[in-house]
Amino acid sequence: MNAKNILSRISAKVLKANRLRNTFAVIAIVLTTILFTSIFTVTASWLSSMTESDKRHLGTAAHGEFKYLTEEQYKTISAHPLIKDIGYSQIIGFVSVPGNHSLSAELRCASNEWVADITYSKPTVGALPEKENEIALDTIMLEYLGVTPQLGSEVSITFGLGNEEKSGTFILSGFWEGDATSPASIVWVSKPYSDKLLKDYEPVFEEDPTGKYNAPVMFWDSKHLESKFDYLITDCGLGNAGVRFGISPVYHEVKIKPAAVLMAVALLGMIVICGYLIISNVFSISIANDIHSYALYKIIGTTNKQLKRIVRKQVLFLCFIGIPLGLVTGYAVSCVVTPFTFRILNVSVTNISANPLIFVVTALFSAFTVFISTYRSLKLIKEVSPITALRSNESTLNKSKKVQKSILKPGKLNVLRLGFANVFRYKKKMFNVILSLAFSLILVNISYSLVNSFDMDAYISKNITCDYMIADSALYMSNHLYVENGLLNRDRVSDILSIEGIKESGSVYFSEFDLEDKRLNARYLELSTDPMIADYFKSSFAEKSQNDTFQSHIYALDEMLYEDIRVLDEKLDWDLFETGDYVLVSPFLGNENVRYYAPGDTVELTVQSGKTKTYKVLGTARVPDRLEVGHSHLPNPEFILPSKEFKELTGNTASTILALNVTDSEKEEFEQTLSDYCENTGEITYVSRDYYKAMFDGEKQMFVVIGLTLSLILGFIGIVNFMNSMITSIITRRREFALMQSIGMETKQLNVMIFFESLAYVFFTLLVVLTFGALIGKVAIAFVSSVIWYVTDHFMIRASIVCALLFIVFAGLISCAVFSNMQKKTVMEKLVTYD
Amino acid sequence: MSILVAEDLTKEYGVKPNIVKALDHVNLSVGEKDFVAVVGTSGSGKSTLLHMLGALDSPTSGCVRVDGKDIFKMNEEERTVFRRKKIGFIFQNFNLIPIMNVYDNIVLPIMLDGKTPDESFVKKVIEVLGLSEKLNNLPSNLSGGQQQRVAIARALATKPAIILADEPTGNLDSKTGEEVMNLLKSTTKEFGQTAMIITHDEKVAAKADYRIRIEDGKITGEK
Ligand SMILES: Nc1ncnc2c1ncn2[C@@H]1O[C@H](COP(=O)(O)OP(=O)(O)OP(=O)(O)O)[C@@H](O)[C@H]1O
Ligand SMILES: [Mg+2]
Repeated sequence: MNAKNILSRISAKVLKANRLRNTFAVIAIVLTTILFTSIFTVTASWLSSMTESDKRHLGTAAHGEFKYLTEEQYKTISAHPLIKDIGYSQIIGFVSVPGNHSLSAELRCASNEWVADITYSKPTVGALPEKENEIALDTIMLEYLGVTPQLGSEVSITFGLGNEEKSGTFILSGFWEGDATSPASIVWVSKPYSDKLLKDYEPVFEEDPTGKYNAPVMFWDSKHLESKFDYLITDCGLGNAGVRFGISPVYHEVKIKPAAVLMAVALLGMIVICGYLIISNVFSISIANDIHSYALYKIIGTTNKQLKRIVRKQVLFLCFIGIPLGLVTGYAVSCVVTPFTFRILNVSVTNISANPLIFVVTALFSAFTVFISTYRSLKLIKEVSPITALRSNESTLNKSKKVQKSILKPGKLNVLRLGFANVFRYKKKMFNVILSLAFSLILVNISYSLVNSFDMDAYISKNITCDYMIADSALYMSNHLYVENGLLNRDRVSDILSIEGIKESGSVYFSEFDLEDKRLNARYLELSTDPMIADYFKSSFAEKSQNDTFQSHIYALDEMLYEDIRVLDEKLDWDLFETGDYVLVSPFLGNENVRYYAPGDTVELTVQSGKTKTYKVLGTARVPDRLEVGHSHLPNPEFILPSKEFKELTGNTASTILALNVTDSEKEEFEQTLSDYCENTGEITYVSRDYYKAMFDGEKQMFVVIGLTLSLILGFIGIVNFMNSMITSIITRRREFALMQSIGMETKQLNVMIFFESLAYVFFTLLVVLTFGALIGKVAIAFVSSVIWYVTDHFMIRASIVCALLFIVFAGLISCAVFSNMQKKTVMEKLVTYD
Repeated sequence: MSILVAEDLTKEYGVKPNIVKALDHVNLSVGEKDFVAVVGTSGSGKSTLLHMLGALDSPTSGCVRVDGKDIFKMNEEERTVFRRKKIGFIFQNFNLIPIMNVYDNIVLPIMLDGKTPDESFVKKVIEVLGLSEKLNNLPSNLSGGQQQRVAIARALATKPAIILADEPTGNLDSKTGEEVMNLLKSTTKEFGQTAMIITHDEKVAAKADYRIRIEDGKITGEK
């Protein structure tokens, strides 16, 4: 046996002698680890779900893609060692779906399964087509084509090839589950088929991609993708061949928002502090109680370094139990909580991450927290003088105090005063317990206030102002692009309007056109001298026009919806607007104070049919987001006309959205009929006020769940901390109590004294919560309400008072339980055994 | 040759104006293999002197040389290690580690020094002190005299050059006390150690080679 071994043996003995302390320490470590695991799991799940959703939305998980390669070019590039995986997807044409002009599907030919896999189009049943007459596609397309998903089924498609329309009949060789959120479906045909089809194909325009290869690429790692592509192209001698490539935005270096970093740091910091408050308390109380034995170890020649190692070994052992336990429990908790948190994210894929890194990072954070928490105890040990061991068992916690004022005033014995005096004997311990209790109360308060600050009216009115909004499905589905004069045509509108119970109705109409205006470029030039706006122009989505034509939109609204128009001028003369000679213009989106035209200016609108009319600008106004089609041509202006005038000018009669208000009593029946109708057509969809109410409740519920879980764990930490200090303080003062009893203090008085001691904790906790806590709460709520628009700034203190009452009950229960346990021995027994 | 030397050793407790001078410019030297008794009234500074000589506490001024080395010029860790090698302590209230058995208590200082106990020597010490039967007992299961013998065994086991004892018989009845003293005297002679023993007991003091008397923190007599 050597010295290292002896230290382990001492640690083991000390551990064995401190069962209660170990239990509390392990609970504290477990709770801290649970908090860390949950935070990291939720974050990792968010990141992986967002990335995965983005990839699916993009339709590829590859690092990037070479575009429009020739076969030669593909062969050269694919042999390059920089590439880990590559394949091609040969462009053939677009498959059209009868009766659904907004759904698009690309006809492609894949080099191998990897390409299909990385573009989320790998057959899960069957395989990619190999023979000339084979085809593979997704279940959504199959449904539109009216084919039962079964290998061997006959599939007929029509597709565009260059300028021609072709058709073909194939045998289904494979299919997979379609994803309604992905932008476009892929239909695979075989290489023999595409070779035959494209043998005599002549390009119909200069850069006709037909027959070219798009090649998704995975490199060995995702760093510096752009330079990798550039290097690869040059290295393959294709520097002058005009090879194009695109990098997946998923792999762009993420720009982290300062607000998110702040939140993360605040959250992690909070957990570290909470963990510190309890773990440090557990250890320093235990070590302060054992300080005589540590002084004794010093007397027999144990160095500080060795004592430090003895403590570290114990801590390590407790971590070995606590951290894995916390990881497992924490992961279980996360599995329950994470799904709720997804509601705030706009993701289509929700997976709970089980990345091993979560566990590694959590374990590191927990261990870090535990080790900084032992700092105070180690200092205590370092500072203790060996001769402490030679003195009688005095408390070292209040060693700074030389003399003490009498706490017994003349007259009747004041038990309350005794209790309070005891609390102040151990200031540091009290401070830790109070802070850790206060932490949970503050958090309970914030969550409660937050949930009560959710403004449903604000949330709903941003999304819907009427009872129902019915629209062309394309408007509400991400894989569709709304095409003008869509599926909510006159017939359908009148079908819907014939349903019983409608009080009011109004439509939105929409048309795309090219605005020809010589003034606009000059205006842009003038605007771009303003540095703020110049930035806006630089950003990628602002398209500049090379000539004097600008893509633009015209919206029109029925009178019922006029209220929804956001008027940016002081007031508008709606009667003048109704005449049809006037137009409303949107503000410049980079800065709503900037106008394209002055009131009274004239603009000439020439629509697709060629019809032209000149309007006078009446004022500035915007169609709210909820009534727009979801895409716009920034930075160009958009126009609003009265619906009658719009129909005359454009000839479009289909509504993009039909807004309805319904009599309350007939709502249920109405909704049933409407839902049946929409389902039957399959081409129109509706949303309702109730739908958004449910969405709102969902988001609110998420905050309730997160807030509740966090407060519960923090509250538990606070209570455990409280219990540990109460119980250990009672146990270490057993002799003192026995002495008090031996000189005639009644058990009841002692009991009351201990209860008052715990009351003091609750009292000071409340003091902290009501002052400092209220301040933090106010700031936190103000912050959240500035980030989430439907949260009003509304802070309440109610919840913490209710919790404090609970704590008082707890305090009473704990002191009674511990005390009655002690009461089983006689005074003499106690005086002897606790010596 | 002096193994233990104190020069101008002063120790003050408390802050102004309530300063207590526990040791007041004490000068002394103890020769190798001496068996010395320290006597004096209660509160005269005997324990304080022992703590300074044994490097358990640091003086306000003055220096202590053990085996020619100024112990308060060392840093705390060096001092601990030095003390562990050179000095064995015995106290009135035994100060055994309650969670370890007798044998562990005895060999602990040796092992803390990173050494393997010299089994035959330890066995001899244990036999001399009559503890062979009690090796697996916890200190709480021993009588006061037995505990004191464990403390002596612990002090001897490291083969220290110096044994410092503060009223080693104070908690024992006179018969046991005498036994313990005899043991101490014979073992230190046998192992060639220097011993300094604080005592109130005249009978105990009489066994010493000579005695040092302290009053009010000053050495008043040596004989
Ligand atoms: N930690 C301390 N703080 C303040 N004063 C102290 C401390 N230790 C000792 N003293 C004072 O120093 C003086 C000497 O004490 P010391 O313990 O050395 O006496 P002693 O001779 O060992 O007495 P006894 O025979 O009763 O053990 C006493 O007056 C005592 O009050
Ligand atoms: Mg003394």
